[in-house]
Amino acid sequence: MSTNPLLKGTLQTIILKLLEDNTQMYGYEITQKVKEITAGEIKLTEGALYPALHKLEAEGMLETTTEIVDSRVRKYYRLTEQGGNEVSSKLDEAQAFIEQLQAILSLKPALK
Amino acid sequence: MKLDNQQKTAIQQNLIKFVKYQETYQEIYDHILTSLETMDTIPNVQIAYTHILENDFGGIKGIEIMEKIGKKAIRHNIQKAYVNHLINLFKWPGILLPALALIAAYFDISLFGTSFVAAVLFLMCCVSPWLFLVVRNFIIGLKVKEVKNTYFGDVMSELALVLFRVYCFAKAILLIFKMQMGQYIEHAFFVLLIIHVFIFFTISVKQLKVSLR
Repeated sequence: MSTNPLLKGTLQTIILKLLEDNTQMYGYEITQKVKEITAGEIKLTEGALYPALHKLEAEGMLETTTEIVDSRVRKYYRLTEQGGNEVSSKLDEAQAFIEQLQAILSLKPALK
Repeated sequence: MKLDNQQKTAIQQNLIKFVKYQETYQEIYDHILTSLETMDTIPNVQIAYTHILENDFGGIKGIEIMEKIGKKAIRHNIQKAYVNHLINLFKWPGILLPALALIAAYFDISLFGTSFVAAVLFLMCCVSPWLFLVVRNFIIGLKVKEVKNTYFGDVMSELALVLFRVYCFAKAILLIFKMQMGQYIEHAFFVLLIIHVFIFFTISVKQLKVSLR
């Protein structure tokens, strides 16, 4: 399991995409989801995840609700309308970046 | 593994020592407890807690950085809202406020030195944002049971007395050089102060409603 530095620039895209697929999630759930999807190959560091969530919230991309779970506050994040509109453009950006990276590094896309 | 109340209290007490903001405190506490609860067995809760804190959050230093970034994002957001409100005060009907303040200044609501009532009004304008924050924190403390200051509360408390500080600083400098602040400057400052207090209250009340929802 690694905390890949290449992820840094795509953290917001990952969060937005996960929230598009899952309606609402809390911090720990997001880290576990990434771990599950990548079979434990990628671990989001909480030190990077929470500031990214707070930044997206401050920018109006995410909104939060709180619930009391086992006598403690749990903060759920969900996409706002603005955030929902941003997902596809962020994904296009990521797609274009990956293609450019493949071209620069002469990498071939993995065959499935 | 479920933690008992004593173990939870020990974690809370430890976190409270170095986490500065309510938002961070709640999220880290929930994160740590959820992590611990997903473990089958925990030989030593204290060691497991420290391990999560160090590995996931980068320890106390990591949390400090996290809070710095969080506060920066909120400050940026508040600054943006402030500028938007300011721009609106140059459009109809927002322009009525600076216009009225200008008219009041024109009819000489003489500031310090000439009118005691004006001076008291001026001082009230200066400190009202700060008083509002004190009341706000009290209400939120009662209703939401916050144990720490929030990012918003902290940034707004920096903003609350900013003009008053500038005014006092200018006065002090002038005093050192045995000079007087011109009446026009005093009046301009009064207009700025009215605008500042209005924007401050608009942003704060909106956020207070969200907090109490």
